[in-house]
Amino acid sequence: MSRSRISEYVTPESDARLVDRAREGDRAAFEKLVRRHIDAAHTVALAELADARDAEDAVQDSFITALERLEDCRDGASFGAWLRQIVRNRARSVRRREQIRRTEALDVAASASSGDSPYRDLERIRLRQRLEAALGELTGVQRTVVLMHDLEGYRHREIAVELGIPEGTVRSHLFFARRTLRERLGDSIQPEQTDG
Amino acid sequence: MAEHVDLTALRLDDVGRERLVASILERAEGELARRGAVDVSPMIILSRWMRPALAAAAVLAAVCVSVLAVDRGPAGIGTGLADALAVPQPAYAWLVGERGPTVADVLVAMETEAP
Repeated sequence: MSRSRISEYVTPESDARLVDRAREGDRAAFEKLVRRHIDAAHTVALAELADARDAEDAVQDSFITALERLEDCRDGASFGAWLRQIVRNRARSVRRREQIRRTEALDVAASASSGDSPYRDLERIRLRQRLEAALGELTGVQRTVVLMHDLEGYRHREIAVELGIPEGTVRSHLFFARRTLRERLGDSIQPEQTDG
Repeated sequence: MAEHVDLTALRLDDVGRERLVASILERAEGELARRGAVDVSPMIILSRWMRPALAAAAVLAAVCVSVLAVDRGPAGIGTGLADALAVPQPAYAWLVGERGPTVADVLVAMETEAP
């Protein structure tokens, strides 16, 4: 979930409180947790699988697993990090066992429909496919770093903590990941000037 | 390293996000219902009150000890905590003075306490 989107969900109700309520079967509380963390979970899954549809499946499975194991989440305030670890494990498991479900092109097109014009949907699908192919050229950790940083807005330090690697290594992975993506994608992506 | 790569096409769009949320919630219904139906045992309910009860008991104990230690009553009549603990008067004096009794102290004490 992008930082701007996270801010939309900032409420007095903390993750810890929502986790407590979800443990008691509160559907609304669980839904808030899902909405709050679904984008970050999707990014983590995408980093592992490099396929949007497979990532969605992994995210679904992970949220259900998390709900079933909520008692294992000792610190409700850290629910997000705990969930992302479940997603990561789930995605790796899927990849290892080669149980990735391949979908028909038509199915992808239908699922990716955003309500825009068919032309824009098609462009978006094509771009997504190119991006996924380019991401597939990266190592797993490079994908994770570039997606967390450039898609979700995490800072270098936060990514370093999440992955348990030095901050300098994060910067290095980010540099090489971006370079590889630019080489693969050429002019189809528009670089954004940021403070990096 | 100043240039982002625009990866927003990979992000879940609103329609996709809503569909995914709906799927997750649908699959979660069974587990949520199971959790909602679980009877909470009386012991669990009592355990939820254990911490506040212990905290209240600790506060009460602290108040009682301070009252005993501070309220020594009118001068010359009692010695507060010493009286409450039934410490003999001569021994209390030795304790307060932080000294051991001399032979003379012991003789005086024995004669004073004798019926």
